[in-house]
Amino acid sequence: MGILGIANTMAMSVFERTREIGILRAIGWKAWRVMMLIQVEAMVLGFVGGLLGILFGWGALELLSKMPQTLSIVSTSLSLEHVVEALGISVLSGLIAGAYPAWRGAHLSPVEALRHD
Amino acid sequence: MTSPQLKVPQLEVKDLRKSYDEGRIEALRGVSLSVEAGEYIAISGASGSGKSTLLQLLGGLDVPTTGEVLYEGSKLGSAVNLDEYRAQRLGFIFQAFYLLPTLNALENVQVPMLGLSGGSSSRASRAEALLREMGMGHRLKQYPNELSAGERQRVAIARALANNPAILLADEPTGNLDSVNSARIMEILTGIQEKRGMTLIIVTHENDIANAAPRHIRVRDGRIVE
Repeated sequence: MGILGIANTMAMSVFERTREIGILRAIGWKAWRVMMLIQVEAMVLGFVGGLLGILFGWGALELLSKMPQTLSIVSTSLSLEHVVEALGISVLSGLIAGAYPAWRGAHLSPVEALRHD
Repeated sequence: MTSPQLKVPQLEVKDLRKSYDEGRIEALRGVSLSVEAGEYIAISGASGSGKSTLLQLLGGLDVPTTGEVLYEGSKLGSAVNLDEYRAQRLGFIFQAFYLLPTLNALENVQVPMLGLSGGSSSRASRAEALLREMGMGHRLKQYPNELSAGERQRVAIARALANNPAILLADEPTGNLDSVNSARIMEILTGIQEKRGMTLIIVTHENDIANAAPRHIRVRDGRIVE
């Protein structure tokens, strides 16, 4: 679900910034540099999403651990190892999700991209 | 005895054709042209004549359907990498300026320099020097939406000069400007061409600008007519 969400956001972002991509290509930016720009953005999105997910998840567990109905089945212990692992997966998800929009954006013809409204 | 060396034109176009929509629209129908280094050329023609398409092909922004564009004798797209050609040999100026809206004037001028040699401080100082040359020293930190049309075009000219190109291509550079700003921009462009010895090719539909150029090429229905 996360990968689909980031892929959709990145596809929209690339579409909205088609002209900007055209400008970068027109002034000589290589396709791989444009791809990197979009991929870094996707990874940051994945990282921030992962961080927010951990915070909200931890908050929800804290809440559940205070409720008598769920007290016995919920644990709020959060190891650094799990946090790093979750963030790693989030960044990787961003990288995978951003790959196609980045490739597509970077390989647009400069002329077509500049004509985009 | 030494053999006479043949002078290779800076840019050469051979039987260039460009069609769209599966050949239904022919923008260029066999254009041949030779440009020497340091020339100042105006290309004029009615809307839809193919003049902007010709400039886009000269600038490596698009590829021809048939025919070829040669830069110093080497074919664009095969012997000459298009990205490197656009980044290091060319400066492009557009009618709609095409500045990046989220970057200020100083940052916009630095964008073409990213990834090429030089650190961030040398990029910034070169960008500042170019903007000062354009009379924009007092507007370095302004964003495009805070600049007038004439000022935006001056930032765009500074950006086009960022990597010290050999050729400056301008597609209707005064098309969005009033007469005062048009005159100022043309003064800057011709001044740059003279001072730096660059090749300047301007596409325009304005007769005054076209007739002022030492060489004037007229395009009609995808062909050069004179």
